[in-house]
Amino acid sequence: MQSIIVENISKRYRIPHHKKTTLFQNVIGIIKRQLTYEEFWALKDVSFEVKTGQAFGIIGRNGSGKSTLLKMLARVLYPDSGSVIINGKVASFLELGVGFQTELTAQENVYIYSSILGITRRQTNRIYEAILEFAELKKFEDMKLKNFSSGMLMRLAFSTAVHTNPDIMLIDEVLAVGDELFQKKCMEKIHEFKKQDKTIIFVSHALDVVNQVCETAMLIDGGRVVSIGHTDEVVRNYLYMLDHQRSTHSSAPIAAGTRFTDLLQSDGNLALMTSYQAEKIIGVAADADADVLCSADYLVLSRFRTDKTGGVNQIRIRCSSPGNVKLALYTDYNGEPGMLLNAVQTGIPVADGWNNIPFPQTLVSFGAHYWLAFCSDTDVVDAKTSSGFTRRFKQASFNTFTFPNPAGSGFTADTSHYDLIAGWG
Amino acid sequence: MITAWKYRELIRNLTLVDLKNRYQNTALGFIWSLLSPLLLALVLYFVFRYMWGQGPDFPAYLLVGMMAWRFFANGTTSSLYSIVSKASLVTKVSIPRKIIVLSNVLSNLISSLLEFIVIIPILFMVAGNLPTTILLFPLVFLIYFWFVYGIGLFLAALYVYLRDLNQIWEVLVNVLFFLSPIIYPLVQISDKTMPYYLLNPMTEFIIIFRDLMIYGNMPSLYSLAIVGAASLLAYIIGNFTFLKLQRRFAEEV
Repeated sequence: MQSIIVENISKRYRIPHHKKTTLFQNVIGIIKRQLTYEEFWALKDVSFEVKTGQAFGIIGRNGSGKSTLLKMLARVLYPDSGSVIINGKVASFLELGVGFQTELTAQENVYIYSSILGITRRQTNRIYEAILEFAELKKFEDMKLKNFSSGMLMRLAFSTAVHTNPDIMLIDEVLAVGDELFQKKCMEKIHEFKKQDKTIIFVSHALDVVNQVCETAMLIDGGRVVSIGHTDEVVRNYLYMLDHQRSTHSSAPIAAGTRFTDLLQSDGNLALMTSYQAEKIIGVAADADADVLCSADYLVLSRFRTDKTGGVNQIRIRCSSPGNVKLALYTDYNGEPGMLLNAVQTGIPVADGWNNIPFPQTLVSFGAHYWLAFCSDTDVVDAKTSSGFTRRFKQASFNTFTFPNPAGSGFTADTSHYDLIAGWG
Repeated sequence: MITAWKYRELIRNLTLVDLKNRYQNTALGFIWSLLSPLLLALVLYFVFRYMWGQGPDFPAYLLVGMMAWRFFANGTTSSLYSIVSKASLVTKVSIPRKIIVLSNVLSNLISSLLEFIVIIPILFMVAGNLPTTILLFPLVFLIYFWFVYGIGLFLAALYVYLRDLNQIWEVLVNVLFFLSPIIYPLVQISDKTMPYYLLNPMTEFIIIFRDLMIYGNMPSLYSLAIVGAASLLAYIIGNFTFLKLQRRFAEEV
């Protein structure tokens, strides 16, 4: 039984050279003959099928057509050609919204949303408490949504969507807002959904979550399907594609003994990030006292490359005193943190000296790829956005440390107050 | 019609929320909303009562005309905004989008019915009795509803693409107000202009409402046919325009 059958859909947007939104402008436009426009195919000949009970991931870069596709599955946008067949009640969770009106209260919105999905008032009365309880918003039921924070809105939307018992759920970037605790609740709910044999379409940049939730995935780029298949494989294709798309950079190995400062470019970016290529992990390390190193909250650790079989077993962190650190792994995107590929691991206990932290198994399956690892011992929580990292990274003034030499002997920092960075795995 | 039944719960919810917002959640809100038309009627009464040789039933004449007009003016104007102002119902969920306009016109219908109920005692006081023809009021009002709904669909769909339509429509509504026999009697229109004057379907509606509620005249089949045809035409054009344009709503709002 197929829940979703998509056949050869294409969607074309017309982008007029002179945007006309009023009758006046239209009349003027006709007189001046400003009727030209550019065509842009957001989707081109996309076909796929999703079986009932399947969790289906859609991945791709920004602007690849993921959201347009999801909106067509939600029947909000119409394709210019091709057909979409959907069997079952669809709850869509698009761009963090489910059709709430900000001028209405939480309660009114919940009732309206349920009636959109064809749920009677009596049934809604029954699930109403559960919705607000799950969203942790009971206190705010009579508040207008315009006064809600984005996190509250998202919680209410997600909670309402999952409690209305749909057959098919379209989920777009559920993890973008909301604290870690709520994200965990969302994931539990999604897994519960899977157990109930419901169909899930999951769009996310968090590839390890996609891998965890979905058995099957589809990669789209430039509005076309690149590959469909087992999630592992599709994610690997995706990472390969990313690697390939930026391969214009030269990547000469760095000579042993190179200093970080030598690699710093005038704009504050590290040249190292685009040129360093080591086939095996390089351990990374942080000072347990974050203030010491460039007074950044996060310490940039390293870029390393996993080989085809994963190849990396552990990340090494060296500390000057015992404590807890957090670690985040990003894909490397032109030397800048690309995507956060697994949740930031917090509270990793570390002892004096070198600590070995296992490389997440979920990421090993992605195969050969460049990574950026970040480590910090502070409690700053904004680990969700890479911009926080990037900014701090760029501001950081890397003093002179010696780059580790490939023989694996480690290295020494040449200023006395931090102990640092990296060793070979 | 079948989809309307399927989504009756949604239509009901949207209509109620509309009403609640209009009256700020209180019964007093309804009274406040009545204040402005009643005051306007009062002013018009004092200004125009000696002009054009108005008879003693002029207050009733004025009130029925104004209340009928209000449903048209408010219903179409708020319909115009309905799709754009409820953008999230267009861009995030899939519902038959006509429902948004329908529930908006329905909430205006309810407001209008309440207003008519309020003026019935006044009509009674002015005339001394109420004609039995008033029983036909619901039927004509239903036809009137389709007329307003059709125009509402047309405006709501066009406004998504033409964002100055609200200003244009405001001017048109004002012009139409003076082109309809609301504050002046029909005898003021010269025989020569009369055929053109009657092209305005609002004229026929207002004449029928006055006949039913004040004078106790049965509307002629001819005038019923005219308003019926006008409503049907408005609905067909509105519906066609709406269905044609709604495919790209989500891209434009």
